[in-house]
Amino acid sequence: MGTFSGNFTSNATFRGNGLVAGLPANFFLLNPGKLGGAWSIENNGRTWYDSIQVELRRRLSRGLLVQGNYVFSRAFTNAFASSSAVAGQPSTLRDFSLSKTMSPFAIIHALKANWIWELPFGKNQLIGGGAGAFRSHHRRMGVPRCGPIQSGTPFNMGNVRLVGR
Amino acid sequence: MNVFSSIYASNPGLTIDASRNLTLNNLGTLPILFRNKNQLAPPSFPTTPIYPNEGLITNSANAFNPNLKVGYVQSWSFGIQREINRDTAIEVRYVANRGVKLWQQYNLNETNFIENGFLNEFKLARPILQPTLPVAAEIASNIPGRTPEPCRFRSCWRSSAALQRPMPAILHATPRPSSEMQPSSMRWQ
Repeated sequence: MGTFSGNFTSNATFRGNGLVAGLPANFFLLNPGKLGGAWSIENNGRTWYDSIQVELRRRLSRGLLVQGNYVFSRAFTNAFASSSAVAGQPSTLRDFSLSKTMSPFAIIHALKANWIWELPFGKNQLIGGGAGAFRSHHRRMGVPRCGPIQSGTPFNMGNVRLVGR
Repeated sequence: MNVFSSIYASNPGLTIDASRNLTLNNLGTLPILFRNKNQLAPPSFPTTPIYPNEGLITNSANAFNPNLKVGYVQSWSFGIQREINRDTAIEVRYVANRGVKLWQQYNLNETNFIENGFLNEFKLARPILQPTLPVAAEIASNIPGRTPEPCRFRSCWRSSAALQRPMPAILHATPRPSSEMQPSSMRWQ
């Protein structure tokens, strides 16, 4: 419906046909002289974010340090925009709540972890038991690992029909 | 500041470049010396609007709410932390944010199809077209080289009895010659 009426107003031939058929010039658009739109910046943008976070922390003990967390979150907005630009047309000006949808920044699942595992070099270790500087420095080398494993961010398919659906 | 300037610059009207350069051909007599102050200052330009400023039908009007506020975020959280052993702890948190009064630019000149009755007319016309969908699917499936596709429209699964209903009068209408098509016959009223 919106696409049809939008095409009607943006096409000069269709507009002409409508006038010939007796439709008023502002049948679909209140101000047909500004097809580019009458844009206003208002304070109607809203976002909602809720999350449950579980974090595990192990201090460095017996050569192992671990920090890890899992986040389950839901993020919604009424202005789907993947940038800081303020433009975001609601589905209808009659009810802004209808435009509440997933945020483009929403990541539902995210798992992150990093840890340090000391290599078994140095004093009282498996390798290099009494090797001076090797003992004092190289034993602190570890194997850090960090990086998120997370679900993808949503995207807006726009006003399309999914073939076969 | 860039947001304000870009928004207001999108309005119809004349944009004047108040700088001096070779491209604008407003440098005056060369060479330009520091003592030639009149050549260093901005060139002259009209300081009052020029009317009529009719613009184009494709132009847009852009403005800010005069009572525009700065958006903000409310944030709250609570959590519980427990010791698993002397070296390890686990924490569970609930974190929430609410963005309020965020800036949003939208088109007040939105397309309307409710108050003008177009939506109701569309709802009335839709059942007229539904019985034709199975026929269209059958025709499409018989096109050489075209693989029949399963039709998932609900109307495709109508019973044969439903398909044998009398067709709406509009589909029985005999096409009128174009010479008889007057604008008054095309009114949607």
